[in-house]
This record gives sequence, C-alpha cells and structure tokens, in this order.
Amino acid sequence: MKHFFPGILAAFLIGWLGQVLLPYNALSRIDPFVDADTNEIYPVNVAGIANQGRDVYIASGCISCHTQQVRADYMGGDLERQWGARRTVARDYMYEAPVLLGTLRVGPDLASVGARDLAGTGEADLSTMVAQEKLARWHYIHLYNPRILSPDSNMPAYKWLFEEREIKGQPSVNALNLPPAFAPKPGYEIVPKPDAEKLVGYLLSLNKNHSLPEAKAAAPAASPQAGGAAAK
Amino acid sequence: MSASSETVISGKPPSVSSARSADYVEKLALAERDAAIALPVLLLFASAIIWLVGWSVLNFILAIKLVSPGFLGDGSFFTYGRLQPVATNIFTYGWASCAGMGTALWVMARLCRVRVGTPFSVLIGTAFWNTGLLIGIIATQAGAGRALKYLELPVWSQLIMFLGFALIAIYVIGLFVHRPPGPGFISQFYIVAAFLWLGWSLLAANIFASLPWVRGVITAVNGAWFAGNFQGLWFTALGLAAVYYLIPKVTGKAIHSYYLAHLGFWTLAFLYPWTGLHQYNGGPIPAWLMTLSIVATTLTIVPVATVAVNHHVTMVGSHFMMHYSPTLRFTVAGAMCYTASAVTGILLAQRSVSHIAGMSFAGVAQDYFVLYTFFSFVMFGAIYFIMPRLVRREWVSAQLIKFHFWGAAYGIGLTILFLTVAGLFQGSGWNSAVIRPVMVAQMAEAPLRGTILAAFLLLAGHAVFAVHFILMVLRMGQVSSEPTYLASPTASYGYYEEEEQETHGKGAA
Repeated sequence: MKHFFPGILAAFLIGWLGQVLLPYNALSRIDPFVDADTNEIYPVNVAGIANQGRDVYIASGCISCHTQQVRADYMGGDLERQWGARRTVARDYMYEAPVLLGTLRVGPDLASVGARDLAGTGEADLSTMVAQEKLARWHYIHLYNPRILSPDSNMPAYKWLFEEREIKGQPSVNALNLPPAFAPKPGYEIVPKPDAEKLVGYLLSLNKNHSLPEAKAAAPAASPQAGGAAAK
Repeated sequence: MSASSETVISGKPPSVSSARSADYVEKLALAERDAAIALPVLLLFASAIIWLVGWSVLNFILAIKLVSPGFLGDGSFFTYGRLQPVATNIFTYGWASCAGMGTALWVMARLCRVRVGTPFSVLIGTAFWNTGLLIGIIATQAGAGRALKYLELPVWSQLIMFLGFALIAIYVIGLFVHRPPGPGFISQFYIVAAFLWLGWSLLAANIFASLPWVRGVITAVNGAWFAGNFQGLWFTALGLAAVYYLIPKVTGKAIHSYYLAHLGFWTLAFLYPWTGLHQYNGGPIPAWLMTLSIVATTLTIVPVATVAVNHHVTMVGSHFMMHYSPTLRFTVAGAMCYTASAVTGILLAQRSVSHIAGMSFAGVAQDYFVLYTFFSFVMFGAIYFIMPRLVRREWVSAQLIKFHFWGAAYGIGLTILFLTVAGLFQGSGWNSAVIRPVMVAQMAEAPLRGTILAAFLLLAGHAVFAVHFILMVLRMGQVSSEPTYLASPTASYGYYEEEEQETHGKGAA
C-alpha cells in the first residue's frame, strides 16, 4: 500500500516523459531546410491572409473530415492518389500550432491541396496569377455549395461564408459565377465574405511538395491531368 | 432488527445478540453515510442522463447529416464540423464522466466507511463542471473550438470544468485517505488513481498546448497522448472499479484472485499511457514513437487478459443471474466488451490493419466500442444498482429496463457494425487511386444510412432510461423488499440449470 501513490505517479510521469517530453526534445531541434544551390528556405512561416484562414479552417471544424498528412508508401495509397509528391514529415509542420493532421478521412487529404489542379486548368505552373485566380474561383464555388461541382458530394455547404446582396451599379468582380440552377434571384449576387477569402487563401497556400533530404519528392509536381481527374 | 430493539428497550449493553446488534449499528451507519452522499450522487447521475439524452439527439442529427449534408440547413451553428466534436465532448465529459464520477463517489463512500466533511463541495463541483461544459459547447458551436481531440473546448471553459473536477476529486480522495486502516479494495485503487491521472493529464496537456513556443507535430503527439490517457487511465480505470465492485456485490462472491487484480492494475497503469499514438501510423510523427505505441498497445493484452480471467472466474456459476439481475446483465455485458474492445484495439494498432482501417470510420467504431459497449454499459449497471439505494424505492418496471437494454445493445451493436463496414469501404476506397473521392463517399453511404436507424434505437433506449430515472427521482418506484428483477430468479436458475451443473465443479475447485 505504501507504494500506491508513488507508483501511480511514476506510471503517469514515465508515460509523459516517453510520449511527450522526449519527443518534444527530439522534435524541437528541427531547423528549416536551406537548399545549398538555390538558397531557398523551406518551410517558411506563413503570415497574412493564409495564416488567418487557418483560424477559419479550425473554427469551421474542417478537421472533423479532412486530414493534412500524406502517409508513407507502406501505409495506404496516399502517394498513388497524388495527394502530395512525397510523404509529409515533421519538418513540414514545424511552424504550425496546433498541427491539423486529423484522424478521419471523410473527404480527401488537404496537406498539399494548394498544389493540386482541382479546377482542371491544365496549367503546368499553378503559381501563376491566372492559375491561382482559376483555382480560387473553383474553391469559392465548391465552398458555397459542393454539389454544384460534384452532384454526389456529401460535404456540407459553407453558405455563411458568403453574402447574398443586391447588385447596385456594376456587379462585383468577386461575385460567384454560378450555373443557372444555383444562381441567386435576378438582380442579386453571391460574394465571398472576408472569412471565405481567408479560407481560400489558406487552402491555396497548402503545399508540402517541396523536396527535403529526409523525404525526396517522387516527381517535381503531380501531373495536372491526373490531379484534375481525381478531383471530380 | 428485533434483537437490537430488545437490547435498546432493556437498557442492557449488547451481550447475547452482540453479533446481530453490531450488524444493526453497522447498517444504521451505512444508511447515514448513504443519505449523506445521496444528493451529490443523484445530481451527478441526473447531469449524466441529461447529457446522454442531448448526445442521443445530436448523434441522430449527425448520422442524418452525414448522408444528407443539407439537413437542418447550411448555417454555421449546426455545421457538421462543429457539431461532431461537440457531440463527442457531450458524450465523454457530459454523460460518461458524470456517470463515472457519481459511481466512483458512491462506491468510495461505501467502501471507505467514513464521512469526510460535507459533500457540499461535490455539489458545487458538479455545478462548475456542467457550467464549464455548457458554455464551452456554445463557444465551440459559435466557432471558438480548438483542433485537439477531447480538448476541443476553449481553454477557459476547460478551466471552469477543472475547478469543479478538483472539488469532486478532493472529496473522493479524501474519503480514501481518511478510511480506517486496512489493505483496501481494488476498486478504491482504481478510483483514486483515475481521479489523479485525469487531473494530471488535463493539466499537463492543456499547459503544454498553450505554450507559445511549442509548435509542430509535437502538438498532435501531446493531443494523442492525452486522448490515450483519457480513454485508458480515466474511463477504463473507472469502469473496472465499478465492475470489481458490482460483480461481487450482486453475486455474493469474493473476487477470484487478489493477486491478479493487482497485476492487472499495475500493468494497466504502466502500459495505457503509451497507447495513444498509433493512430498516426505512417504519418509525419517519428516512427520510433509510433512503434513504441504499437508495442505498448499490443502488450495491453496482459492487463486485459488478467482482468478478463479474474472477472470470468468470479462469475462462473453465477451467469444465470444475468438473466434476472439488471445490474449484472449490464455490467457483465460491459465487462465482456472490455475484453472484446481491447482485442479490436490491438488489431487496429497493427500497421497491416491500419493501412486500410486507419483514419476511417472504423476508428470511430472503436471509440464507441470502448466508451459505450464497455464503459457506458457498466455505468448503466451501476446506476441500476445504486439508484434504489439512493431513493429507497425499487425500479418501477422490468419492461422499461429490458427496453433500455435491448435498445442500447442493438443500437450500439449496429452503430459499430455499420461504422466498421463503412470504414473498411472508405479505407480501401482511398487506397485505390482509380476510385474518385465522391465514389469513396458513395461506397460508404449505404452502411452510413444504417447508422441512422442505429442512432434512433439508441435515442429510444436512452429516452426510456431517462423517463425511468425521473420516475425514480420522483420516488414513484416500488416499495418492495427485493429488487426489480427482469425475470424470476428461481426460474432463471432452472433455465440455466444444466450449464450450472457442468461449471459448478470447476468454480468450487
């Protein structure tokens, strides 16, 4: 009996040391990777709209259905599905708190969703202004009502991130270009609210395809055709 | 009783009937302690059952929303992503923890045979716990949630809950510390350890998650460590404490082996804190951590087998009592599911299984297996045992208890079955790159539709249980010298007679 309280304290502390403190010690020594040839630094601490969009992602509970981790090739078909060019590793997440790894995949993984050509633009370089604009418009419509783009989707609509308002003068350049069956009543338009802009900015910023010494990218980028086909 | 009255009338000290008179004094003291503890236990049980009914409604709504995303509109307050963690929090912190704390308090007061101060602090503690949970839920629904499993509620609401928890924990541990000298009973060890473990885990996990310089995958490691402790060191420990108390109480037999009981306790204590991480198999967490977690999870077969053998051998020769005793039916069903869920948990931790079933609905099914079929069934059993002793009435109707049992059993059985099937479809669907994402969702849709029916059965069972509980609180129960049985005990014995004759020899040996 005299060993009872020290015993349960030891059981707890040893578990905490082994599962939290030692891993913390090991993981806190990670530094960003500096490419010797290009002097490019990865990962970078994202600021601005993408970082604010992260809060919208958390507040909306996206993590309930989406993961942000590309598993190694020995664990499932993540790479085959081209959710990323390589498995994700601890270094990819070094600036994120809390990390949004997720534990359930009702929908697809989003670790590198910004690098996936969901809109089917067919552009080889998705970082161009034109490609980014097309991708953003796809995400707005998809968030407003996923069933516009894929009729059988079971993803909820995020209509509260958008505003239906009367067109005064010129229609807004940000107004969603919706098919007639989903369009608002004549004289009205659907415009993204700031939260929607932040969230889309965040989704487009998600890209963990950068090659790292501990996880080399299989291909420079996922083939656009395959990525586009997988999205629909 | 009559013997004791005589000694009181004659004014003599108890002599001839001293044994029976001591028994009477003991019973009187017991009644006093029961009466002192009745209100806090009743309040905890009432809170638990209100949360349970609330969860049942949300669970039903969520099951529908998963196949018809437009159900209840596209507003922010009822969006699936917010409602889902809220439902989990209501189930774990609302129903399961309140029922667990109520049972722990009552069992502890019974076993420690001592009254420490006034249980007023427990009443305040319960109020804090419920208030913190309620406003935390509202805040999460309004968008203030965090992305950490079982720690989703805003940290300030968790602080309110923690203050309440501390008040309850101090009282329960105080009972243990001030008990008369003696070796102590295994349930007491489980209860004291569970309260300390949850308190430490809540503090450590929340403080660590709040440190601004703690960034990266370690935040997920911290969360998974807490989730493992929450299931293994809190719910499992409280559940086993109740089983160890209830089986001997109802069957009138002592625990088979005290040595096994202690072996089970200490192996649980040192292994369960290591079991949380395997859910990130193949993910961005260092592989050695995952491997450690898989090994620890596999080794939990030791405490599980020890506990299973101990409970089973204690029960041998008494299984027929499950036919008529509501407490034993729920408790033993729960105890059996502890073993079963531990085995499926070990399977799910293996890489060969989790490359398909990991990150699918099969993991959700596993959580239900542990938290419902094991823990909640044991809690139902405990409430059926304790309530008549709190309100001094027997349960109103055996039919209502049966309805609750079968509603819960079929409801959760179908939930687990359908979710596992959906999870396997989902997991193998994601693993075949040729299957489009929408097709993966469609493959899982048929079994997910089944969970709507299952959720309805659960809701019906819980509604009947809640009504029955209210009737008991209103003291509308039966005034009877024997408990409300589901069938006649003697007839039940005859029903199982042949089996009993076979096993009786083994039990006695």
